[in-house]
Amino acid sequence: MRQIAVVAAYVAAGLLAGALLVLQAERIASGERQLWTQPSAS
Amino acid sequence: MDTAIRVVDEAGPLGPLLLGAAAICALSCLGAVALGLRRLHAPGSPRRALLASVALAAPLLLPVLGSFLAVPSPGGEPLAAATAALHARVLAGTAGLLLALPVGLASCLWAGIAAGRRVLQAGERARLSAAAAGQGELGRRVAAALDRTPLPPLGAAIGLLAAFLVVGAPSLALYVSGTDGLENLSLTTALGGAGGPMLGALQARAGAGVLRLGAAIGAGGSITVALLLGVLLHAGSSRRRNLAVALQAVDGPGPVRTSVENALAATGRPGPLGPIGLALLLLALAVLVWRQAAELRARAEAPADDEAVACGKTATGYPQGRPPAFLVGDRSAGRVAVDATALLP
Repeated sequence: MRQIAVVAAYVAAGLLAGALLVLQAERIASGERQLWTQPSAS
Repeated sequence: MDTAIRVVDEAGPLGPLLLGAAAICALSCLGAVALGLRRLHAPGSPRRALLASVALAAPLLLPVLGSFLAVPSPGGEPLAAATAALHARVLAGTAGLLLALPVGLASCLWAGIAAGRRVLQAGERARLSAAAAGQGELGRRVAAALDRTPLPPLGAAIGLLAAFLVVGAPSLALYVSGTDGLENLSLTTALGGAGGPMLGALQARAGAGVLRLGAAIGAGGSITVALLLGVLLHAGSSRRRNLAVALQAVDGPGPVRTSVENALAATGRPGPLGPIGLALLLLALAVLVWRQAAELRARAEAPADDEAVACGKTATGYPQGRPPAFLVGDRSAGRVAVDATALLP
């Protein structure tokens, strides 16, 4: 049982790391899109 | 490659610092791979090998840090902000590509060595216990069977998978989208007029596609690699697995099996440092994911007004008091078009 719990924890870490990668890509993409669609100060 | 060299030149002190640190870390990891290959089956502390594996993975924070810098800061002049963010993107991608193979290989190889050393320790304890019970020959056979553990090479194989999928793919996506974006943006000043924002928005859309593909491959890879690493690290301390390997070697009747079981019962449990470290890693990742998701949610709620502004429903916020000339129509009614004549200088 302990082994299964630890392996499940590793999988959870993998899932979170994957989510972080996807969210980071989304943040970069949405930040760049906003740059060009929002009114500029200049 | 020319773009990458130009980016390092133009990025100020950040470029040489980030790439220099990445190159030094990559060389250190290659050294650790050479050392690990020589010590594949050497006795030693499993905990120290595990710490070496974690320390060797630490340089991956460099491209992660770079990707945080690659999120454009809102406000200000779009062209300057986008160019700075694309510079950071290219640098983060280059650092990741430099580090991918040595870091993935070194870190997972040492994780395999840590697992292998647990098996070696189990074999040594089995040998000593069997010798104390007057079955020295049996103990030697069990120790020899456990000594042929394939866990370190398996760790190296997982490292290759991690290098190509988890680090390589997102880094390549950052690099490709960054260099393409910089080349496209260099045309915006030549276009002039409303063409600049139009080209900027188009290149942002193309870059987002590449980034999403890289992130999706990386996410799939990270789940696979984490599962394999979890199984690998805990296969080394598994009594059941060690017993199965040992019984294959002795393949004897009941009394022999009991003797081997008794010998392997002495196999030590791993310390609490591993689960505590894993829990801390999970907590840090969960906090980061939560914050990223909250920021994205906040951005997703805001655009209702921005879209209306950009589509001409309201004209507030624009310095000229009107939306870009190339966007015509009403997007909320499904009618929005690009007026190509407005793009002409």
